[in-house]
Amino acid sequence: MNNSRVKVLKITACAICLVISALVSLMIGRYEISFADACRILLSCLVPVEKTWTDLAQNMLLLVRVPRITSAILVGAALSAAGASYQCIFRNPMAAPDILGASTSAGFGAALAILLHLSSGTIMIWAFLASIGCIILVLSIARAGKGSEALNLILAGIMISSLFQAGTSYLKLIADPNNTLPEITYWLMGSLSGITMKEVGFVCLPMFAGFAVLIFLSWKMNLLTIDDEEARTMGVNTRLIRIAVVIASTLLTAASVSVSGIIGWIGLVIPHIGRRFVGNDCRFLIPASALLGAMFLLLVDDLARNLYSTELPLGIITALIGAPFFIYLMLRRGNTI
Amino acid sequence: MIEVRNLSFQYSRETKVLDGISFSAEEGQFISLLGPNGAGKSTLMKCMLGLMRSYSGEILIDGINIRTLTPRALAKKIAYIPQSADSVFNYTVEEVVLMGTTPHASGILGPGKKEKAAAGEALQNLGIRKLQDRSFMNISGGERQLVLIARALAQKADILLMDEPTANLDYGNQVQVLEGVKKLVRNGYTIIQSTHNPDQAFLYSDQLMALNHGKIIAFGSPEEMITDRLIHELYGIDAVVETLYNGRIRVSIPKSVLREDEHEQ
Repeated sequence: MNNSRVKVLKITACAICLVISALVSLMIGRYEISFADACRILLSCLVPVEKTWTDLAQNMLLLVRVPRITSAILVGAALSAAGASYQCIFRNPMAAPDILGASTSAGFGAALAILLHLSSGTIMIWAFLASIGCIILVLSIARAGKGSEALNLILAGIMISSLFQAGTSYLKLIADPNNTLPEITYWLMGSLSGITMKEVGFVCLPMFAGFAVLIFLSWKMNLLTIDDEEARTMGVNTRLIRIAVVIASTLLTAASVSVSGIIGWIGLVIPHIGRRFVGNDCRFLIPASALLGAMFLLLVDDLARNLYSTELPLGIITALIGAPFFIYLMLRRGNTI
Repeated sequence: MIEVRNLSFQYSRETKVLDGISFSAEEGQFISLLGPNGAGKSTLMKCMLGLMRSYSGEILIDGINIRTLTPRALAKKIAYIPQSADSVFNYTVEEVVLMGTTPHASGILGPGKKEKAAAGEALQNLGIRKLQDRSFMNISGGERQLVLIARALAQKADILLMDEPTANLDYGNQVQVLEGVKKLVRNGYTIIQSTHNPDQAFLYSDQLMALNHGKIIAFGSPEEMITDRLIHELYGIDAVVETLYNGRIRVSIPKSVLREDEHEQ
C-alpha cells in the first residue's frame, strides 16, 4: 500500500520538477528575458496585462521558446514512453524505438521529402507514412516467420532498419550538396531549432493518442514480460495487446522523429533510469519514464542552444550520454535490470 | 469440478498426442499426473487451460463447456502454476501476485484496493506475507514456487494446474511446497500436478493418473495404482515397489540397483 503511494509521490515530484525546468528554460537563451517579464507575457495570453516588455521579447518567447520547449518535452516524453513499452513487449532490456526501424524509416521518409523540395508539413506526413509502413512490414515479416514472434520482431526490425539506412545514404549521395544535402544531414542529426507552434500542434494529436493507449494498457503490459501462455491463462489477450502497444509506441516514435529528426539513445537510457526510480510496474514506469525523458531532453536542448554560439545537434549530446550508459548496462547486466 | 470427456488432440497429421482422455476431478482432490516425457501431460494441461482449442471432445468446468467461456471468464475458474517464471525484469513479490488478479481487475489502470487485499490474503494463506516487498528474483526457489502458487490463489480459481512444481527444487524446498499444496487441498481446491516422481505422487496426492502415448493407463488411488508393472510400463524400468511405515510410504527402487547390491555381497 505504502509502496505505491511512494511511487505516486515520486511521479508527482517529477511532474513538479518538469514544470519548474520548463519555466527556467523559458528564461535562458541568448536574448535575456527576466522572470517577471516571462510570467507577464505568458499571462497576457490569457488575461489583458499592462505591457511592460518589448515586442521582440514577446516574439522571442511565444514564437521561438514556447514551441521549442513544448516540443522538447513532447519528444522526450514520447521517445522514453515508447522505449519503456518496447522493452516490455519484446522482453528485451536493450530494446528501443530504433529496434523496429521506426526512427530510421521516418528519417528516410523525411529525407526523401526534403530531396523532393516538399513543404515542411509534407515532410512530416512522409516521415509518418514511412515509419508506419516500416512497422507494418516488420510486423508481417515477424508473423510470417517461424519460431518466437517476439524475437522475430526484433530481427525483422534490425533488417528493415538497415534497408532504410541504406536508402537514406543513397538519398544523401544524390542530394544537391549546396542546399538539400546539408538540410538532410542536419535534420537527421536531430534538432529542435526553428519549430513553430503549428508543427507542435500537428504532432500533438498522434502523441496524445499514443500516450493514452500506453497508459490504458500499462498494467497488462506487465504480463507481457512473462511467458505468453502464462499470461493467457490469466485472461490476457497477449497478441492483441502486443500489437496495440507496438502501434501506439510507433506512433509516438514517428511523431517525434517527424518533429525533431532522429534523436537516439533517449528511448533506451531513460526507461532504465525510470526502472531504478519507480520499479518495473508499467503503471508507474510509463508515466515516470515520460516525465524523466521530457526533463532530460529539455535539459539537453538547453545545453544545445546555449553551450556554444552555434547550435549543437541534439543527437550528438544524447549519444555522448547514451553510449557510455549502454556500455555500463552491458557490463553489469544481471537480473537487477 | 472439472470433467474431461473423450478428449483427443493431434498436431496436423501426426499421431495423436491425446487419445480419448476421460476423467473428472472433484473439490478437494489432489491428482498427480504421472507419465514419461512426451506422454501428453503438458498438452492435456494446455487444453484444460484453453491455450489449445483444436481438440475434439469436451472439457466441462462446473458443467460449463470451456469453449463457451471467454479467456477472462475461464481464468476465474482455472489457474496455472508454471515450473518457474523467468521475467527479464525484476518485479516485487507483491507485483507478481497482483498479476494473478488481472481477470478480476475492473479498473482501467489494473488492480485496485480490492485486488491488493486479495494478493495480501493469498500471501498470508501460504505464510509468505513477509516476502511481499522482496524482489522475485532474489528469493529462494521454493519461495518463488510458493509465490507462483499465491499468484494462482489471487486469481481466485478453484482448480489449480501445476507443472512439475518441485522439479527444480532441493529436497527441503520440495517438502515446503508440497506441504503448502496439501493445505490448499484441505481447503477445497482441486489440484492437478504433473510429476516425474512416483514416490511423491504416493506421498502427497490422493489420486493418481498415469498417462502414456496419450492414453490414460491407470487412474485411481496411488496405493492401488503404483505397482512394479506400472513403473515398467511408464518408464521401461524394472523396479520393486516397497512399503515403509506400515504402508504409509511407498518407494520404488530400480531392480538394477538391487542386483548390484547382490553382486557386492
